[in-house]
Amino acid sequence: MLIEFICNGKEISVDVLAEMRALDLIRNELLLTGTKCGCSKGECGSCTILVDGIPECSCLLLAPKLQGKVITTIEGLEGADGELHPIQQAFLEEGAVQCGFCTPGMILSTKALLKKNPAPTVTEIEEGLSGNICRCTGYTKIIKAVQFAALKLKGSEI
Amino acid sequence: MQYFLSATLNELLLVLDSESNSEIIAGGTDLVIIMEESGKRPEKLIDITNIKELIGIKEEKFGISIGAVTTIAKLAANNSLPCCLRSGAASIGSPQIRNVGTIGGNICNASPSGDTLTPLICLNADLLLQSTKGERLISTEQFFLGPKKTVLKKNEVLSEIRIGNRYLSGSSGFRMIGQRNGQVISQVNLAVWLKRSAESGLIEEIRIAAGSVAPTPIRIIEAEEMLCGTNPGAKLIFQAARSVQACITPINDVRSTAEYRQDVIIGLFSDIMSQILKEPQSC
Ligand SMILES: Cc1cc2nc3c(=O)[nH]c(=O)nc-3n(C[C@H](O)[C@H](O)[C@H](O)COP(=O)(O)OP(=O)(O)OC[C@H]3O[C@@H](n4cnc5c(N)ncnc54)[C@H](O)[C@@H]3O)c2cc1C
Ligand code: FES
Ligand code: FES
Repeated sequence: MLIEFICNGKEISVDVLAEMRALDLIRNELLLTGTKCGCSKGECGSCTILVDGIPECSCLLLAPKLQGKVITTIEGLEGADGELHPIQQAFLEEGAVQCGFCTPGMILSTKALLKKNPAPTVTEIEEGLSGNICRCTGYTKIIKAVQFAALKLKGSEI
Repeated sequence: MQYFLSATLNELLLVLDSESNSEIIAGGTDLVIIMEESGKRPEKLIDITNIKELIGIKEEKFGISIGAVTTIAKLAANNSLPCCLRSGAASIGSPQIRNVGTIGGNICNASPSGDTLTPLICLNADLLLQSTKGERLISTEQFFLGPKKTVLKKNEVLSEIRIGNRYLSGSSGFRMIGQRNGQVISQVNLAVWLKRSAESGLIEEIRIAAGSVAPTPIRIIEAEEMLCGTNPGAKLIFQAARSVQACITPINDVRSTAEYRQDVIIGLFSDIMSQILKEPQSC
């Protein structure tokens, strides 16, 4: 079936099988491999994308559900000249990235959190990122990075 | 497999009636995993998330109506809903799961551990089931037959959940124990609703429901009877907790042992009761 949606600002029109997951469409057809597959069960959050600004697990999302939606993957955060998004910059500067597998999902969940709540407390950050598992960092630096990103983004459109 | 995005309730009912090997998909957070694990596909998936009539929380004369396709995140954030239902919803999965999963999916999936089920049972909620043949209203308590088994017929959809004014007016609470704090699937969950008499302060009516302890979520009538008509102190609450414990036939499963469930239920029950009695407004 033909579906049409907007991905990272680009109009996409693509023929998919009804049972295809959005995750496979994004990685294998659109070749946007920043979106990761950790568990395929909605547990780890490494496949997180934003659908109309809301974080969702693309491994649980069938591709037909993207019809008419606006989605953002980690690749969509890049600025016009290829510069990093302030949230990405904050993760980098705080050293919140080790193997990097969880990072795209963490950053997209952070983006959605800061849009809703520009100055979250530590508890609110933990809750906002509770659907994203990191096996490397122990989370301390990730939480610091989110606080730093909130500071960087203060007063600006997220 | 075909995929059909239904636009209206009427259209949905017609399709459900004409297609025997079809399956409803709402958020898909249960169904997609089942499909991936079993490899089985229905001939047709009918997506109901674009049907506006089935989405949202409305105040009605009888109380509150919740559209079956309302997301768990919307339930958790709605202050007009009773505490036990909001807390039950908030304890589900992670933000990503709550943004997509629906109350109708949680109910129809009929997992013994579904975290909105015990709240709905103790709020005495009714479920509206519709088909081309008409509609029927059934109490949540009567809806479940076993794990993944309900009274819903192949051509029916759960369209609405109704909570009556009486049950909006009391106080309630919900507690669960799970394995991990992020996205836990509860090993035991417990919901209590009660109403105290305005004059005497005694408990006028109380409903207690437990999940994950039997093939379906169940009411614990014995403990309800012990507490009804009383103003319970710590001792009576403990005795009632023991009777909650005695009434359940917990299951050994992948999530925890029966023994553990038996023990933990006493703490959960005492916790909820002290919250409801001491700070009925807090949630
Ligand atoms: C990582 C993860 C964590 C989770 N944690 C929890 C948890 O802590 N607690 C908990 O209770 N659940 C949990 N769940 C399960 C799930 O998210 C919930 O049960 C959710 O509410 C299901 O809703 P859905 O809209 O996604 O259902 P779907 O998957 O779309 O549907 C589930 C079933 O219900 C049927 N159905 C759906 N809507 C209707 C309707 N209106 N009428 C008739 N039939 C219908 C479908 O045909 C299907 O059989 C978790 C799931 C995941 C993946
Ligand atoms: S791959 Fe989707 S949540 Fe793990
Ligand atoms: S950095 Fe390795 S999983 Fe998070």
